[in-house]
Amino acid sequence: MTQDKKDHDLQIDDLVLSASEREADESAIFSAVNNKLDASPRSWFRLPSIGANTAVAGFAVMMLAAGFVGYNLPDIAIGSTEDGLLLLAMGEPSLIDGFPSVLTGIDQ
Amino acid sequence: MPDREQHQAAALISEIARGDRRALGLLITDHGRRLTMVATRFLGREDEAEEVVQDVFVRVWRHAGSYDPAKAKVSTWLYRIAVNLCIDRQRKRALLRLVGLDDTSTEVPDAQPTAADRIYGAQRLAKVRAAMDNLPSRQRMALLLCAVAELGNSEIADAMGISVGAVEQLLVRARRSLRQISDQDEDMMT
Repeated sequence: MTQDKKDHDLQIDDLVLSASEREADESAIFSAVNNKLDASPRSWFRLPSIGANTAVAGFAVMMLAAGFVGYNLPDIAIGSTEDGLLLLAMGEPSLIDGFPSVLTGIDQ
Repeated sequence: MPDREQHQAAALISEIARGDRRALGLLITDHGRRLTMVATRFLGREDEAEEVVQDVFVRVWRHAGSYDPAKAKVSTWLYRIAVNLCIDRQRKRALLRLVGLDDTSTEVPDAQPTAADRIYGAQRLAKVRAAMDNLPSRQRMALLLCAVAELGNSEIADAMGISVGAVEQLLVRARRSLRQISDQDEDMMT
């Protein structure tokens, strides 16, 4: 029975092989591979490869950081009461908390 | 892969690592067709399969220096690369389909009738192809690596990154599904 089962498996595998038959032009594959290799930049010039997810996440963090700094920097640097009040008005007291009043421009 | 073939293939990899493009051509001659068959039947698209096979050999060229014959046979290593690239393609296609950008117009219908079609009957093989397309991806890949690439179960396990037991289960299920199609056709013919 074991041998019959194995023969049956071989019959299926043979069908699969037949169903998968297709011609392949090895010289065309070789030519295409050579073109790809010749088109790729030289290794010393190649940027390190990073995953797409990492790149997107990194970019998002950068934008958030830039936004945070850019959003607060004028107020911190100038220390104007007006800007500090603007922050409060926009409901962002957390951005002001912790900063000395001289920096936020808000009179405590 | 018999030991002599593995020895010759490993020697080719060494030459490729030294920058011998001719050796790469020989490797493509030895393995290109079977890789193309596996990729085509797995992905269902000839154009994508051809891209995958090209990328396999691009990676071979770039990483030939890191190939260790003690860890895997050349054929196993090639098919491990092919499996990963095929899965990547499949995921990318699923994502494109999700956002409505998958271009199904480039799908190529089944190739011209082959000698196998004449032996088994084109209609029967078309049913087998359709049945294979409906198999879960892992079953389809395991079956293709067994039947087309002629890898052993341990090599399939290595190529797919799963256990040998898992490979055996995948093959049992895949063959069972195809056997139903095959038995139905035989009943009709008798």
